[in-house]
Amino acid sequence: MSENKTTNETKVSTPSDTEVRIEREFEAPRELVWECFSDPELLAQWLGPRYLKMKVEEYDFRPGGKWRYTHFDDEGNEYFFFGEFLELEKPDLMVQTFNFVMDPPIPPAIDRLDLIELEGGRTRLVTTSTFESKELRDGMIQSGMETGVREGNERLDELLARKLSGDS
Amino acid sequence: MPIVNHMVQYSTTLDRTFSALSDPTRRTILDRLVEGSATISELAEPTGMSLTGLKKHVKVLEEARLVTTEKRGRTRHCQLDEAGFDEAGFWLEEFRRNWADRFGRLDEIIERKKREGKTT
Repeated sequence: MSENKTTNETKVSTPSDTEVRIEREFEAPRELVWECFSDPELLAQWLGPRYLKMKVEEYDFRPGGKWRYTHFDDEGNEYFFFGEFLELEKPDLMVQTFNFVMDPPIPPAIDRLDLIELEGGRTRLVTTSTFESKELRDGMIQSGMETGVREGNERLDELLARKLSGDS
Repeated sequence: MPIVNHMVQYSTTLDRTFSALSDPTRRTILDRLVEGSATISELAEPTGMSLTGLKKHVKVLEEARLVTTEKRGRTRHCQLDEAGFDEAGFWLEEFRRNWADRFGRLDEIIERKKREGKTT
């Protein structure tokens, strides 16, 4: 096994006020990357945030099919996500709605995943999420705080949560 | 190239912010400062750390713009610099790390699948 392990860079950009784009290259052909998104068993192994487990309740991978999954921890916290597959063109393009359970409910984002074939059996993945408003987009970006920063410092968590809700 | 310089400087600040937050002692300091300002010795007391050691941590937090300090008479008062938490880049960098993390796990699955494909 050749040991030339490099981690490809993850790039994040905001092409407009209502979009966020993530770009990443993978050392595999598109079909394999596609499989890691289309197979719920594989998806559950990587998509959950570091400190949360993930269970996929529904994953009807075809245009018009619904998906639903939950991120949860040992303390009973649960975060419910759901959406619908709109376009699936293997191995080029996936478009789906993306939403999570909120009270009151929020309008879904549209996630577009482009898989671009690169030389040497590699793939560039470009995901673009489009939201109904800048506020919804910023809210989604800020929910990324679930990993990394929080390490059980309660007041710090509260401060961050307050910042997250924009109530500063 | 003022824009490039600005970007470089900006990402340096963010790196500082995140490495400042990655240390448990510094998170404890921040945790305490969320309640209100405190002097260096008040911060040192619960950690059992020397004043010199604590000052070093405070300096790191100050450079990361998470804390501001002010000298009043003979004591230095520390308080949270919430502006540091408010910058758009702060959240965007955290969001990026989150995805870099996930894609790192996706790489592992891909490598596993590639090996399986070869042996079977």
